[in-house]
This record gives sequence, C-alpha cells and structure tokens, in this order.
Amino acid sequence: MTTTDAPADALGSTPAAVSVEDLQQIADDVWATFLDAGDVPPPGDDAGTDAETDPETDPGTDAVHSAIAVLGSWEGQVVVECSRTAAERMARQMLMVTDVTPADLDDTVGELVNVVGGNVKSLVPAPSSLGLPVTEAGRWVAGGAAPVCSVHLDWAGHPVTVSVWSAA
Amino acid sequence: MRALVIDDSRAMRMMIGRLLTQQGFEILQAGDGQEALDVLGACEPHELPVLCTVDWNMPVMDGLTFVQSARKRTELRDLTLMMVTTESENHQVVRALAAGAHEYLIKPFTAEAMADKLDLLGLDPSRRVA
Repeated sequence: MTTTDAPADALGSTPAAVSVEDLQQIADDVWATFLDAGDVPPPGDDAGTDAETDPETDPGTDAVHSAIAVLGSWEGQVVVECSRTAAERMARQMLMVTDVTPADLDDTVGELVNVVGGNVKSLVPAPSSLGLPVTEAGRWVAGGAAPVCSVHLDWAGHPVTVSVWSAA
Repeated sequence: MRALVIDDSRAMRMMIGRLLTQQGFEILQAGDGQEALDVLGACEPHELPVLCTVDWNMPVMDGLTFVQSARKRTELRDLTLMMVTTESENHQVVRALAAGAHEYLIKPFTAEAMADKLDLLGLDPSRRVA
C-alpha cells in the first residue's frame, strides 16, 4: 500500500486536534497492518471484473463509504470511502473468501473505519466514545458536518479516502 | 491449546484467528461478550480455552463487561484475558486491567506484536518445549 504523491489536503481548521499528518499515519498503519501485500483470493464466479465495475469507468455510482461517530467533548465523524471493487477486494483479503456477500463488505469496511476511528478518538479531547460503524452504498454526504482533514491512499491501485468531519 | 476470539467484526475474528492458528492455537469465536459467555459455558472443563482475545466496543455485551463477568466465575479463573481493541487512552487501559484483563493490545497491531504479547503471557505454543 502506498500513499498518493500529492500531499494530503487540509480542508479546514482542526478543532479536533487531528492533523493531516496524524490521519495519514493512522491510515497508513491500518492499511499496512491489515491489508498489506498478501494472498488475495480471486473473485468468485459471481463477481464482475475490476474493469467492469471500476469506479473510474462509472464514477459516482459504485462508491461505498463507512462512517463512525465520535461522541463526547468533541463530536464528529470518521469516514472511509472507496469503490465497491476496492471494498470487495479488501473483504476477500481480510476474510480470505472468494465470494463476498454484502454483509462481508459491510463488516470489512466497517472494521477499517472502526480502527481508524478509535485511533482518531485518542487524539480528541476526552471524554469521548465511539459509535458503531455504518456502511452504505454511495458517496459520503456530509450534511452540515464541517471538514477537518482528509487523506488519500492508493491501495492496490484503488483510491481510498479517509476523512474526519466535525459535527455542526 | 484453545483460544476464544471475541470481536463483533467477522473480518477481525478471521484475522486474529489466523494469527493465533499460526501460533498453534485451536480457535473458537464469539461475536459479543454474551455469546462468549455462552461458548465458555458450553465447554467441559478440559475444553476451556486458555486465552480470550476481547474487543471492547461490541453490541449486546461489551468487552469490559465480559471481563468483569468472566472474572466473577471461579470456573474461568485460569482463563487469560487479552483486550484487543482500538481503545488506546491510558484511562481505558487502566480500567480494563483493573477489571481483570491480563494484557492489552491496541489495533492496528502486527503479528509480531501479538506474538510478543503471547510470549509475555507464557502462552506461545510455538515457543514451548514439549
């Protein structure tokens, strides 16, 4: 797993005391630990090929995101967003399965945002607690949340965005 | 030796299970603290695991409540409890250890970190002399 060449972008002020560098370190550690190069079972017969489902050929319609709430003295959301193709590959690698069910996909992306969120939580003012991850199809819709920071990963050729948002 | 992996994420149970299998453990799984107590309750004394890895944030029964419950049961007095969680603040570590957890491993963790913890606990089958 490598990060993109472009610098991570600071999207606004950092009232949560979470810097781009912090988030980059957390995301790099999580992906390197759980999803570094290793055996990835091939897709099952029911799965489409990357080319058929890659979001770059069909932007906006094939995204998956998982969000987890940080509650307490500071409140906000931590979000992981990627293509469904990337999420399915992550699930195949973490679960060592060839066919990925929707539950597998929810579980895998949800656990990734859970681990990132837990590490982000340690950086914000205490006391704070973590909610349970919610994984949904489509791109993350911020609503009234304010961007804190965001980093972009390039995992196995798939773009992955990890971001922190402050509650309005 | 058997180990019970308690985590609400199947992906995490699989990952921890693979690491422990590589260390020589036979793996049991539970998706929350209550299910873990049920699994342990169904074991004959000679079938009980020697190790539980315990996530903190889980539905139904969280990991801290599981540790407190397990510590009250005399039949589980030999069970080694290792928190494996994203809860990394010092006060949370102190709470878990005070409740009866023996070790604490923060996610994300490497295979080497897990092996080191097992070694500290004297639970690394691969390093045991038969």
